[in-house]
Amino acid sequence: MKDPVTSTSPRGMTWTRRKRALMRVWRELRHDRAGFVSLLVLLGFGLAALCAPLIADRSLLLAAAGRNNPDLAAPSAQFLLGTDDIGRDVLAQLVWGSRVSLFIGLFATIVAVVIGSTLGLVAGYVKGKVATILLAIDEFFLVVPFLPLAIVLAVILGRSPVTLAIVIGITSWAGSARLVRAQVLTLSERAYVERARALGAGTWQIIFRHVLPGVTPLIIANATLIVPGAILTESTLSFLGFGDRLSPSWGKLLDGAQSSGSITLNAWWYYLPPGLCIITVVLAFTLFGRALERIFDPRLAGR
Amino acid sequence: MNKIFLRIIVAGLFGLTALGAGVSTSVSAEGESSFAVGITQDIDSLNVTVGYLVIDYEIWNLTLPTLTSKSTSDFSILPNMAESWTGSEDGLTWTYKLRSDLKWSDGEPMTADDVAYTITRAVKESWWNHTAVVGNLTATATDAQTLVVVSAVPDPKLPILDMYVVPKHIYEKISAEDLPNYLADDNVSGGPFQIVERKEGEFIRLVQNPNWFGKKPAIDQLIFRTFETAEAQYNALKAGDLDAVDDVPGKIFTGIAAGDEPTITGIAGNQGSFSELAINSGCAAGIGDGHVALRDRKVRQAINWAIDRQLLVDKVLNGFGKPSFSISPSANPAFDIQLSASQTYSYDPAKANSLLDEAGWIDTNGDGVRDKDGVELKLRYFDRSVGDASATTPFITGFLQDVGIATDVKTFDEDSLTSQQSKGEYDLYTWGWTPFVDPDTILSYFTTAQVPTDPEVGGYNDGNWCNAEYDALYAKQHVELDPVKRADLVQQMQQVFFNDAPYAVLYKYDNLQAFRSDRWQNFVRQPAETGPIMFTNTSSAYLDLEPVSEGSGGSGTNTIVVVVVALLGVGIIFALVRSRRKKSADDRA
Amino acid sequence: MSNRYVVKKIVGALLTLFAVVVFNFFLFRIVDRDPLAKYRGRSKLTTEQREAMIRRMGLSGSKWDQFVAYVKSTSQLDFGRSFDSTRPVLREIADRLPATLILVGVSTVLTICIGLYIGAKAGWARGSRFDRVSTSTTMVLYATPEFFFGMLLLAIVAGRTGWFPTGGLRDVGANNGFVNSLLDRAHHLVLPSLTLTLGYLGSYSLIMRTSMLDTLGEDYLTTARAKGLKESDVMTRHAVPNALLPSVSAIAISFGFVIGGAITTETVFSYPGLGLATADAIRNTDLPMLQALFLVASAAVIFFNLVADLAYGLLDPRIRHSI
Repeated sequence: MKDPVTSTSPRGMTWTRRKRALMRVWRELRHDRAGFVSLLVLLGFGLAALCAPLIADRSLLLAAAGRNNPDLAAPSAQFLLGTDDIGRDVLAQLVWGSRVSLFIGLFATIVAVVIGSTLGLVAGYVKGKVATILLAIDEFFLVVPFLPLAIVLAVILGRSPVTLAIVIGITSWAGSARLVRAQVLTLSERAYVERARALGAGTWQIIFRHVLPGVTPLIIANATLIVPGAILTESTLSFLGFGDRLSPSWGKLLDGAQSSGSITLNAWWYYLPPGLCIITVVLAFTLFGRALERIFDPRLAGR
Repeated sequence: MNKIFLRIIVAGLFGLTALGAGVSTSVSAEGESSFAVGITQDIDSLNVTVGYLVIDYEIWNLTLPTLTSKSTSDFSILPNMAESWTGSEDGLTWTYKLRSDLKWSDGEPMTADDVAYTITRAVKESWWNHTAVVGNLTATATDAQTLVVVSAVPDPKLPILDMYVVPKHIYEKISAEDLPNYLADDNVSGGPFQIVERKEGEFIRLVQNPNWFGKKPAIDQLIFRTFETAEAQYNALKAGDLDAVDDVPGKIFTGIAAGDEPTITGIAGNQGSFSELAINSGCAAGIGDGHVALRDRKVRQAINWAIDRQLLVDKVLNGFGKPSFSISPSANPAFDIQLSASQTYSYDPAKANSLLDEAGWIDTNGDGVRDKDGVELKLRYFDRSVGDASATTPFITGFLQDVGIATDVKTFDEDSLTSQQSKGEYDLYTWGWTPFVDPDTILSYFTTAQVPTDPEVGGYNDGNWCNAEYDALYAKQHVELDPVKRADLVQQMQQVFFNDAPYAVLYKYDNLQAFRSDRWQNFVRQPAETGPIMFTNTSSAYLDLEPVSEGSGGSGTNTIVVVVVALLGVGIIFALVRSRRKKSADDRA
Repeated sequence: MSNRYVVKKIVGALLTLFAVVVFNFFLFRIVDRDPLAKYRGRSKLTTEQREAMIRRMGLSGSKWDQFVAYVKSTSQLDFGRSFDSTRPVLREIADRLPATLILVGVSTVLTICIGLYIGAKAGWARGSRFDRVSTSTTMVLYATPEFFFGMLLLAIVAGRTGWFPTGGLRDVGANNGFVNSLLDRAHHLVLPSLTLTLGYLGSYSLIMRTSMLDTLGEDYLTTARAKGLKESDVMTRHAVPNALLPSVSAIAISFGFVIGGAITTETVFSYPGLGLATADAIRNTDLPMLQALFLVASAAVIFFNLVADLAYGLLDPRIRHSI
C-alpha cells in the first residue's frame, strides 16, 4: 500500500494538499481564542444533545409526566432547573429541546447552503442570461419578508422537524448566492481553471472539480454564519406557536414560559435557560464562523 | 455625524417617557367614572345574526334590550321592556304589556313593533342567535305597548322569550341579502350603555345611554380593551390601567385567591362552561369520513375511560373547575345531571383496554397501535390555534397513546375547524360550550336534525351522533310546561348522552376574573355565590357596581419616578458631553 | 448619477414588485382554506348569496381569470375583505399602519444612529477597549432573539407598576388633550421600540464596523492625514461617509428582518400594528389579510432597497460620474 504522504499520483497529491490545508486550519484555529472556545462550546452542546437520553429519560417530556410534581417549582436537588407550568422537569426539556433546535438549525443550513451555493456557482461561472435570472431569484428572496413566508410555508407543508428545516432553509439562502458568485468570478479567471478549460473539460466538471474546492472554504464559513439565523428563525417560529407541536424546542419553552405567566410570577428558571442557550449557541456559531473567515481569507485577519 | 445631536435624541426620548409616565398615570377625568375591562378575544362581529363569541353577547347585553330579564341569583324571570304578561289557558298565547317610556338612544320610540318585527324577521331569515327561541312563534303588536305572541306548540321558553330586540327603524333599511355583511355600527342602543367608539383589535368604548329605562349605573363610561395575552392584561390591571379583567392566568389567580395582592380580588365563577373531546360517531344519516372504529359505542366509552380528567383539572385549569361527564345544559346548575360515583368515568386505562379488546381492536403487529381487519386505530386529532385548546392536546394524545390509540394532530383556526366539522371530515377534536339558561337550545344541538348533511349548511351536532331515544326525549321536553317534569326529562337526556358517549366531556371550567377591589365594590355574581361577575347571562353587574370612596392614586410614587428618570436623562447627557471633551483633549496629546 | 441609472433602478424595483404579486397569488391559492367558513352553520346563505360572495372574492373562474382579476384589484388597492372581521382589508391595514410605522420608524432611527455610531467608533479604534467591549456586547445582542429582549424587559418592569405599561398602544381613558395623548403614546412606545432597537442594534453595528475596517486602509485617509487634519476630523469627514456607503445597502436588506422582528415584538407587547395583524391573520388563516400584509411588507423592503440604491448612486462618486 502506498504511503499517502509520499504518493505521487494526482489523487494522492490532492489529498496530501487537502490534509495539509486542514492541518493549517486546525493550527490557526487553536491560536484563535474566540474561535477555539466557540468550537468547544458547540461540541459541548452537540455532545449534550446526543447524550440526551442519558441525561433525562424521554418519558419526562410527556404531558402527564408532571403528574406528581409541583408546578412552576423553583430549582431544587430533584429538579435542577425546576419544573414548568404542568410540573415537567425543565432540564429534561432543555436537553431534548437542544436536539430539535440544533437539528433544525443545521439541517436548514444545509438546505440553504445547497440552494444558495449551487445558484451562486452556476451564476458565477456560466454568466450571461442564466446568471441574470438566478440573481433575480436571489434578489427576490431577499425582498420577500422571511418570517411571514416561513410561517405560511410551515402551515402549508406541515410542521414536522424535517419540513420546518426545509422551510427555514428556503427562507435563509438568499444572499449567500451573491457571495458565492463573487468568489466564483474571481476564481474562474485563475490559471488552473483556464488550463482545465483548455484541456477540454466540460462546464459541470470544471464547476465541481475545480471551482468548487476553491469556493468551499467560503461556503463553509458562510454556512456557519447561516446557522445562527436558522436557529433564531426556528426559535421565533416556535415562540409564535408555529413550530412542531409535540416536541420540545428552546423557542417552544420560551413560548410556554410566556403564555403561562412565568414572567409575572418570576419563574426565571423557565425562561432564562432556553433564552441563554439560544444566545450561547448562536454566539458560538457566529464567533466560530468569523474565525473560519479569518483563517480562510487572510485579508480579513485582524477583525 | 453629529454625536451631540444623537445624544440629545436619546436623552429627549428619556424625558418624553418620563413625562408620559407622569402624565398618563395621574390622568383621571374629573367627575366622570370610567370602568375598563380587559379581554383577550376581540369582538368578531356586532351583527347579532353573525357573531357568536362571548364578548359579542356581553356587548349585546349592554346595548340591545330584551323583553324580559333574569334575576342574578337564580335566573328567574324579571320585567324588562315588558312590565307584565299573561298567558292563555293552553299556554300557547302570551300577551305582554310594555312600559310606556321606552326609547332608543337616538330618541326613536321603542315599542312592541320592534319586538314583533325582530321575531318575524328572525323566523323568516332564520337568524341563528334567535331561531332556537322564536322558531315556533308568530308575533303581532296590537298597539305600541301590547305584544301578542302565539306559539305553534306549548313552549317552556315562554314567557321569558330570551332574545335580543333590534331597532326596526334601522334594520328595515337592510335587506336580507345585505344583512350578513352589516357591520352593526349604527350605535343605536336600547340598553344601559351605547357604543361611542370602536377600534377593532384595540377597544370598544361605551357611555351611558340617557334613554335607558332601567336602573342607572354608577359608571359613566365602560371600556373593553383587547389584549394579546391574559398575562399582559393582568399586568395592566395591577398597574391600574384596567379595573377588571376576564381570564386571569391560572397560576396568577392562585396567588390572588391566596391574598397575595391587596388591591385585587379574584372571582372564580362557573356558569356551566365545559370543554369536550368531540368524537365523530358516524351517524348513518351524516356525511364525511369518520374513522370506522368510532361508530362503535364501546370504543367511544373506552376513550372516556382512558382520560384522566382530574389531572387535566389540576394541570390545565390549576384546580379551577371540576371533571365532568355529560353536557351541562344550563348556566343554572339545577339542571345538571346527578351521576352517582359508580357511574362516572374514573381514570381507568385497564377498563379502556378491555373495552377496546372486546370491540375487536387488538395490536396484532406489536407497533403499539391497535388494529382490526387491516385498519389501524389512528385518529385525526384537531385542535384550535386560539384559546388554550392546545393545552389539553399533549395530555389527551398521551392518554390515548397509552391505550393503543394513535393520533395525528393538526391545528386549525376556528372557522376552518367548523368547515371540517360541517363536512364530517374529522375524528376527534376539542372545543367547548357555554350553555344558555334555558336548556332547550343546547340540547337541540345534539339532535339528529343538527347532524350536518350539506357541507355548505353544516350543523351543530359535532359528535355526528344520532340517537332516536334522545330525539324523542328532546321533542317531549320541548313542549313540557311543568318544570319538574321537564327537569326530569332533561336528566334522562343527559343520561342517554352519557351512555352513548358521542363526546368525552372533559371538565366544567371556571371563568377566572379579577377586579380592583380598592376602587370598586358590590359585584353581583350570576348565579348567586357560584357564578362569575362579568360575561354572565344578563351582564347586570355593571349596573350594580359602585366605586369605593375616592382616594387619589399613587401620584406620589409617580412624581418620584418622573424625577428619577429625568435626573437619569440629565446625568447621561452630562456624562456623554464630558467624555467627548475628554476625548478631544486626548486627541491633541 | 444619470437618469439612466435612476430609471434602471426604478424599473428593477417595479419588476420585483410584480414578481412578488405573482408569487403572492400562487402562494395563497395553495393554502387549503374555505373562504366562507365563517358563515357555515350560522348564517344560512342561499346559493345565490354564496356564489355572489365567491365571485366578489375573486375566487370563481379559471386560474388565469382569477389571476387577472387579482392583479387588477391589487393595482386598485382593493384587497378584498378579511375572512375574520369581514371588513375591507385596506381599512384594516390603514388602521394599523401608523402604529407600526411609528414603532419601526423610531426603532430604526435609534438603531441606525446608535448602531452606526458604535460600529464606526469601534472600527476606527480597532483593538481598543471601546472596540472590544462594544463588539462583544453587540455580538451578544445580535445572538439574542428580539422577543427575548421583550420578555426580559417585561420581567424587569412587571410588578414595578407605573414605570411602563406592559402592552397596548395607549390608555383609552386618557383622551384629554393632544399633548397628553401624545405623551401617553410615547410612554407605551418605549418598551416595544427598545426591544426592537436592541434586537437589531447588533447587526447594524457589526455591518458598520466591518465597513469601517474595509475603509481604513484607503489612500484618501492617508492623504487627509498628510494634509494635517485632526484624527477625529479624518474619521468624521472622510472615513465615516465612505464606510457608510456599503453599509447602506446592507442596512436596506436587513430592514426585511426588522419587519419580522416587528411581528414578535408586537405580539409580546400586544401592540396593535401590522406585525400583530400578521400573527393574527396567520392564526386565523385569513388569506386576504395575509396576501395584503405580505405585499405591503415586500413593497416596503423593495422601496427601501430602491432608496438605498439611489442614495448609493448619489453618494458614491464612482457611480455619480459614470454611466
